Amino acid sequence: VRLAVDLEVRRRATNDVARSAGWAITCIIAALFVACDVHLSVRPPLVLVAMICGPGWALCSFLHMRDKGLLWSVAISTGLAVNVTLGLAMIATNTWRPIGASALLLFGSAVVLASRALAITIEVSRRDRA
Amino acid sequence: MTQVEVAPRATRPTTPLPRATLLDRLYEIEVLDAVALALVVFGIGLWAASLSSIDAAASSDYGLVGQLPVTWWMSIVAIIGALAVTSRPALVARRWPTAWLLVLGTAAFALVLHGTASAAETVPRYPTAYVHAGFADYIALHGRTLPHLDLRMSWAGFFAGVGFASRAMGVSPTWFIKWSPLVLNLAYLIPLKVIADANLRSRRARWAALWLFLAANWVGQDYLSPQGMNLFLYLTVVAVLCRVFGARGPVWGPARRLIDSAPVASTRRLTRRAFGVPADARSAEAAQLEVSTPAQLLLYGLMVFIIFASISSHQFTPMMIVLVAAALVLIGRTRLTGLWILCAGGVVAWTSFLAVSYWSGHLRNLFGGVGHVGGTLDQNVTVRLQGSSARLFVLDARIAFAIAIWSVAVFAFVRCLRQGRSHWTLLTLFLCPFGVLLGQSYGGEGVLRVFLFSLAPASVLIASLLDDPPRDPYARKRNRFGAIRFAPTVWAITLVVSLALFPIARWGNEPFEAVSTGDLAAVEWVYDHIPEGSRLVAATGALPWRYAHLTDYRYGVSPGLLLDLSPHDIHEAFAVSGPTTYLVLTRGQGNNGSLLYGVPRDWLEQITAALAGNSGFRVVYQNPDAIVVKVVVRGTP
Repeated sequence: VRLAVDLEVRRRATNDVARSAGWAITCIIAALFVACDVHLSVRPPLVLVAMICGPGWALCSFLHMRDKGLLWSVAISTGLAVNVTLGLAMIATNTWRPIGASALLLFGSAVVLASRALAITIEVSRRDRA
Repeated sequence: MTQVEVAPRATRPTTPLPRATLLDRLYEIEVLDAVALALVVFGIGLWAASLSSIDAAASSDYGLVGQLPVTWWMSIVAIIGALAVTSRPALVARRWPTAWLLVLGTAAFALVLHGTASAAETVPRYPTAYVHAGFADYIALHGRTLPHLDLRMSWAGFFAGVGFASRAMGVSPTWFIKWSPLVLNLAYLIPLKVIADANLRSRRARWAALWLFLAANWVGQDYLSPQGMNLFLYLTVVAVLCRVFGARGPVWGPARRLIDSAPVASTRRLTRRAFGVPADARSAEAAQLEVSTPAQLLLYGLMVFIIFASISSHQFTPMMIVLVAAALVLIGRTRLTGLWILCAGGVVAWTSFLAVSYWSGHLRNLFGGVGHVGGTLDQNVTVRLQGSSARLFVLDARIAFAIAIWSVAVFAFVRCLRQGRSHWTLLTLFLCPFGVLLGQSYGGEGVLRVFLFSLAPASVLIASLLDDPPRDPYARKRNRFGAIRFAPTVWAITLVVSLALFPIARWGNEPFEAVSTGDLAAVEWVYDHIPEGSRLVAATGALPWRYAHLTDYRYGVSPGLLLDLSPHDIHEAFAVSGPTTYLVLTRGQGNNGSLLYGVPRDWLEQITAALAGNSGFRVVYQNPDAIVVKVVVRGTP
């Protein structure tokens, strides 16, 4: 039983690392597209997905829940809420800089996601050694 | 003496089990999986082939239904067949082919139902979506809102978000319009599945709730709009409340005392006897998800954050969240007893300080309808039931559709209760939207919103007809007359009727909701050639304008004057000092006027002839679908 539990834990950890790393890479590419003003047809959908899912998954990566549907729902909703709030905050403070803010948001999300992936990897390898 | 075979005890593995290889996983695919996949692919192929036959511009007064070829209907049948094969109880186990096929089939079903119009049209539809894109475009360019220009800007969160994202993406906000209906409907399915998981037992019933939602969502509020995004946020909040913060019984003191009080208890007893509900009816809700306390705290914080985004972007949805959160507290189905107070406080604060231009001077409009349910219903139903005979047919179909869905949902609830399963959470979610009608009419769209918000719980309630009976000997005894077979039949009939009514109800407004290339070309010509500061006037709002240059022109709509075909009156009204007036008239406006106000079908041709032959007007642009006319003031060039 303990082995099965270990396998399940390892499988989930692998999934978490893959998911966090995948979104981190997506956010980095999107941030580069925005910062360098790349004009490719892939830019709009990629940046949109990264701007919604990046911050959402960055915050939701701290939630440990088994329900994937709930995690996706909360992640997308959180990402939408982040964009809405950031937009309103820039308007309210009269600091409308959408390009800079989006690049910063994407880069920040990538940092959080990458650090989560790293932390999980270190934790799993520490357990393996133990 | 009966021999009892004892299974050998499982030996403890000494080495970790190897992970399934790709080949192992491929072996799990069965013949029926391949059949289901083939049906999905065939269905999508038929759908793609049907698109070339669909011409939104040639739609009749009944909408797009006459344009749909047989191949479109066959694609629906093929995908339904695939879903039926995949969701057979024998197949619905935790196998990866089944899970992926269900996801693929459901996505294909959404594509056919909610992607047809987007795929068939050359220009994105919904004139209102263009206005919303214009709000976002203004914010994207200037970094400020215009609450005095339009009341919707008092809840600018959605427009700020779209403007922010569009600048980062390097596109105009109109980029979002085309595929919004499909993307939003796919998004709604995620929290809806969570709600279904939390309330239904069998996997087939859970997926069936999604299919019915797709087939019954005719309301058409899923375009680029604050309500489109907010329905998703609302469903997420409800999903979190049901799955993580749920409860089984009164947890709030006053609610507990109210439920235990003598009048309520005796009413419950009487109702139970009247409907033949067993006294031992159990809650059919699934056990709560196990989440650690820190994760719960984080989830609560995220939920409050999501609710704030909703408060800042829509006036209606936060009220629904308040109602639902309070009602769930009242019946003891959530542990978050203070959430509704927090949300209500946020709504009051936002409305008081950041939406002043909305309520100042309009308090009578806001609160005048409180308690006047008859007046609200009159404004929502009777006033809207006007127009040509085709229009009335479409409206009747919509009303019949809504009443049918509501009735079957109530039937499903009562049936489950009689079987010993209670769905009080779902019933509360289903009934709460009706409470809004007690407040105000919401500009005559209240009933539409009630249906929209009640549809998700109604779909899950109706899908409960497919749910497995409880493993309870008493309940099984009650089912001995074959009621289990009757219930899936009711569900199937509901789905078939929904699919039959869907094209009429969903695309019944096609004559004026679709945007032709001519309409858009005329507006683009106006923005390219007409000097800024001019006055632009249309006959109705069915025109794709204001998506740019929101404050550069003075926009107006004058149905009374322009639909009456009286050049003299039109000239009298607009040939005044001040900015030069240009009339932007399109076939879409004519269709709108024809369906709603009874103007002739060839209104555009008639008004073109009337204005072209009048010295007070000069036609400055014309294409087969639109005309731009300058109102000439005597003594000016």
